[in-house]
Amino acid sequence: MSDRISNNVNYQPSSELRDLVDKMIDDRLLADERDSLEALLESNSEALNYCAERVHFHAELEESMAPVRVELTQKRHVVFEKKRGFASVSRAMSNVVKIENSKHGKAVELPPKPTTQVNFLSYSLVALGLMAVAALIFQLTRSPEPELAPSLAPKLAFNNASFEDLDINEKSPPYIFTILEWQDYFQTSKVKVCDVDRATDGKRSAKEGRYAVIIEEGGFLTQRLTYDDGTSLKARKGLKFRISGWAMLESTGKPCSLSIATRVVASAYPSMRQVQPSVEKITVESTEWKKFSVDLSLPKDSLVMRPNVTGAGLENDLMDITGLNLAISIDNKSSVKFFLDAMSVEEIK
Amino acid sequence: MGQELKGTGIPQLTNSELEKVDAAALDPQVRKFVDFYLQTRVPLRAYIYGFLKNSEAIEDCIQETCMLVWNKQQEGWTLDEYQKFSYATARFKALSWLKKHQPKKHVQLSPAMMEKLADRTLQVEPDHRISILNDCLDRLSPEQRNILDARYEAADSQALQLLANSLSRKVDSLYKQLERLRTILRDCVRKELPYQ
Repeated sequence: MSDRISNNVNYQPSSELRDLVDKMIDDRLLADERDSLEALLESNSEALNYCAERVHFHAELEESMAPVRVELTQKRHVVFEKKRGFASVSRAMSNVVKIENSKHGKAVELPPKPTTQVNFLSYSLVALGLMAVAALIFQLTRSPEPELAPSLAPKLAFNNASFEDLDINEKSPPYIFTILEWQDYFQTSKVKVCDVDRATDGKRSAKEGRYAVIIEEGGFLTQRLTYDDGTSLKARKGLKFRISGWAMLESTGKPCSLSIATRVVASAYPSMRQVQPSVEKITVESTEWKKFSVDLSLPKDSLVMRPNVTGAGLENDLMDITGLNLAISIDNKSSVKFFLDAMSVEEIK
Repeated sequence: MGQELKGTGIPQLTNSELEKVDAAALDPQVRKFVDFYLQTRVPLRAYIYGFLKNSEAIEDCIQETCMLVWNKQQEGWTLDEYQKFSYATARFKALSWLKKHQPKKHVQLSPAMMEKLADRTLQVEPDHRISILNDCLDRLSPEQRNILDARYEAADSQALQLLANSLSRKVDSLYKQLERLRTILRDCVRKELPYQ
């Protein structure tokens, strides 16, 4: 971007170029006019500058005349829970941004980045106000930790586990290519979120909610693993977890093979370096929703490994992945499309 | 109201105005993101225009790009970093849209020329002129404004055709007038003088 196009007032575009560029802007080019325009733009750098400048001005006009609406909302959450005589109160606060589409008016909500403040307060059922007594009893009897504590430990959880986080406009085709949380590190156009009911004319439905993803040959989902308090799962020796979900084939015929792998992506495309400590394969054979579950684990002895993918020109040196962010990748290695929904992940001992 | 937020025509809120708003609603990261988003809309729209001509598709592409950038944003990003990531994402989104919809009735530029044009739009000097453009728009006659409104403001893609029908004119002649209006407005902005 070093050579900026400034307003070259000396350049006078031909009437043909002016006409063709505006026709292109208004989407009215005919095939032979497109050829003429391409020839003009190809042969003359000033013509291309004029075209780019005209397109930019058109964008400014559109921006100036169409409404732009960004809505900021503050959400406050207070959750009261009670279990076996102990109550907990958690508070969270988040900012939500809504970006409105000026053409059809529908707003998308950007998922909140929570600024969470969580306070846990425990009370006995019998003598809520007598915390000192409870503490004394606790000291005297050396009773174990209240049972509330383990239940509050952060748990592994997929974000956007059922692919419901982004609405698909009812008036649009029943697919969108934005898959929130599942395109970490890499993007692909071979996966889309699908309103299953609309896409199949009511013949099928999502396993949970309205949407599922459909993964084509070569498509993949990747998500960095996090706990429900937002902290990342770091690779450590002997780590084990279970991935579950529901899958079904898009159509009858051949079964589909998909691989589920743990990944550590040290750097992304084009200087890509990726380690894959473990991988499991499953086969999807039914056009009905079927549950699957695979256990993945990291080696107990050493996490020094050789990358399975290294970008051109990079050394394929061993890497110690201890403490690095761990991700899950689900890849369709076959030529058959399948639906996926209601994903879950849990750490196992 | 304070100074204009660069290139958006939107005035920045002054500190005293900000104090009236709940401070928590102005999480610095959120506010920075919204500022960057608003400053990026014009060049991003122009860039996407290299690939797509359908206004709804362009708006969807901007929205989806925004979603993705929101999710991937890094703390401490500069505007330049934000924009580079936005353009890369928008390119991917636009190509996905073309692949999915394969518009036949519209004649597209060749893929190589699309890329070239999109990249060239990023080299257009951003001279932050939307407020001047608004002044120029205010100087147009109601008839001229109706044509621009039909093209740019109306939700109905057939609005220009409907206007032509109501004026008993051919739609081609309205497009020709639209071309002249763009040039008039462009000249007006260039000179930074009100249109007369």
